[in-house]
Amino acid sequence: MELELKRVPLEDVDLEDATFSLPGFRDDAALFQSLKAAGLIQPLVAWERSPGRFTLVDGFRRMEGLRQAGIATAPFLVHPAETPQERILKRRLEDKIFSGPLNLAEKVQIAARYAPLASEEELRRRILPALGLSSKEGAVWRWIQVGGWPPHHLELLGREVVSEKAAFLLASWKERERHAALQLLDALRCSASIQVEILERIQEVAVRDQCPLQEVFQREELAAVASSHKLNRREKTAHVRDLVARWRYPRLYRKTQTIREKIEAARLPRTVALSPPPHLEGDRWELRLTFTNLLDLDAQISWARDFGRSSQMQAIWKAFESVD
Amino acid sequence: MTGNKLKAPIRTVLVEKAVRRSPLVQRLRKRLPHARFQEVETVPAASARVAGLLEVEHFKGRFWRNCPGTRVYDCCGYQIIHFGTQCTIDCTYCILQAYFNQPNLRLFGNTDDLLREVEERLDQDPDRLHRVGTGEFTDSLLLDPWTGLSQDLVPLFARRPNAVLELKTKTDHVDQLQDLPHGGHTLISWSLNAQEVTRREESRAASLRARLEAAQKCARWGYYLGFHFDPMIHYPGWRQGYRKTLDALMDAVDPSRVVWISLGAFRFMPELKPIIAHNHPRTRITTGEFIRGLDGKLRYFRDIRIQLYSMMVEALKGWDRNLCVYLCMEGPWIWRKVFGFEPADKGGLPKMLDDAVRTRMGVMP
Ligand code: SF4
Repeated sequence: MELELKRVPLEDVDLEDATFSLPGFRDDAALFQSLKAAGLIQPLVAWERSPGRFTLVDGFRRMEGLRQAGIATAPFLVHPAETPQERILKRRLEDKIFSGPLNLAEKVQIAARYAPLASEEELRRRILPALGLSSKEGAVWRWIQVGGWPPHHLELLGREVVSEKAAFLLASWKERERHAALQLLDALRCSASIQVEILERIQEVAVRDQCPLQEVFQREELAAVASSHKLNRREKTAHVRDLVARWRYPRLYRKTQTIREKIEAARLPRTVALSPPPHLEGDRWELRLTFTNLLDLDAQISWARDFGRSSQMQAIWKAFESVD
Repeated sequence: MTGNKLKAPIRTVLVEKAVRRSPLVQRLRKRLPHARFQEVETVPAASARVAGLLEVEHFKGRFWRNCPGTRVYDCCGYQIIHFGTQCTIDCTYCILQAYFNQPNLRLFGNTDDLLREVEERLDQDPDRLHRVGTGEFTDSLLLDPWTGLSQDLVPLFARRPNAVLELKTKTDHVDQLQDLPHGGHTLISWSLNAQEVTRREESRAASLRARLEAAQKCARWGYYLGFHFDPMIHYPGWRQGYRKTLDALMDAVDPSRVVWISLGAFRFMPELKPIIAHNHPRTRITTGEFIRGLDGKLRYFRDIRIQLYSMMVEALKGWDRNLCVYLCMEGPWIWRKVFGFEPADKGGLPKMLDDAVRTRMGVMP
């Protein structure tokens, strides 16, 4: 494929044509400053679709920077008109895969654009691993869906608001439901595992209660936390997790709370920690004593013995043993 | 699936050449006259189920296995005859969905090897009472009218003073059992559930009524019976749902024929959850209050299990206080709440079940 280096008037480039565009939703300010200070270092790439009319292939952000700087012409590496579009796109995608760090928005768009050009096998075995995307069962379909999201949703991937795992999960959601989920994640900005935990639980609540997902996102309590001006993101996340856990596991949540309250009411010394079995499963409670010397240890053990017979411990135990 | 108009679920039988002359394949040829038989060196790997296909393999592994127990949850000490894999009843909760590499119905054609191994294992430990079942990786009776495996196994166990055989099913495929010389060493057991659960989650299994009618027939033919409420599902209205099934069971069956009834609340490997969602998008079965158990499986949080079991135990003990009712894969802390004792107090769950075999079936080594 012969590429010819040419100076091209920017007005001859069709800016509406997004055939090869892979927006990464990055902050352009630094790039524009560099263009101003050092000029264009690498030529842009274009395809001369018809004589004198060009489609931009690579360098969309730089093109914008040049235009804003009022530059009229720039050096371009030009694919001749007879080059098949598919070949140019494939080269563009391959270049992009190996040309440096990509954000999730770019990765999924590359996967989606590559889909018609490669077999499913090649996508799973070569393209997705090269992009660092999960290639497990069903992944190809999911990444194609995500790559086709509208720009305002892709932007959240580009800005790392949404993790790869959450995007994978959301791939099968309808647009309105996904929109609600993305709005929530945007308000929380929490870790990947917490994103998935929240989304999965909300999804399960909707399935269990046989209501549209949308309706769960619109529940007043959830909406109030997400839009609160008083809470910071960390606090919002904690509230949402708690809320969703309460919806998803109402009885377990209630019982765990009751036991926690009873333990708090017992006002244990600071050297003591009492914990029920995780998820209340099994019969292994834990009482942790911290001591500073042997005398202290003796005192702690003696305290523990008394505590074991106390009405507070009886109350905690009763709360654990009762089945409501 | 109803008893009187049994329709073979098989249209094509893929037979490995090494077992083409085996008695099992001969029977299949005779009893499936309309099926297409195709011989191959090795059954090829498949990635998706082919409807109506049965694979018959020359199995080189172990036919006799121990029930996979765990350290924390009490296991019954059951032993398994592994005679095939997969099942077309397609229960939404079935673990076999996770076996991607073998999605088709598969039987092991070298039944002579299987029977030899069973005899050897029973000989090896003549003083032990063996409780043996076949329904671990498939339904015991789903294909039995065509394979006739029960014709081999039931008489074999009848001759063994130290063993009983349990054939566990959700079908009503029992007519072939009628004249077998079982010698009181075989129990036929059914997995039962609330009808709402059967309709939603086991839609291709026999109805409750058909299962109970099949049980009545077996009882008439002198077989002992077992019932397994497993997996029990917690859903709105579960109490009435299970109560109705219990009433139907109690109306249909004489409790003195029943050797045991097990209870097991739904539990599953976390990896099964997305598979269930994919294969059965309408089911709500995984949306209960599941926590990660001490064996890594997801199981209902303790209070739910205790409630499910307590209601059942109370009703069943009211029916026959000497009936052996046990919990499948449960921790001693649940046993204590439900029964007021734990298996260790009675010598362990295997001993409790052995005792049930001795007292109900009169079988002892
Ligand atoms: S009957 Fe048993 S083996 Fe068959 S699908 Fe249902 S659970 Fe699985």
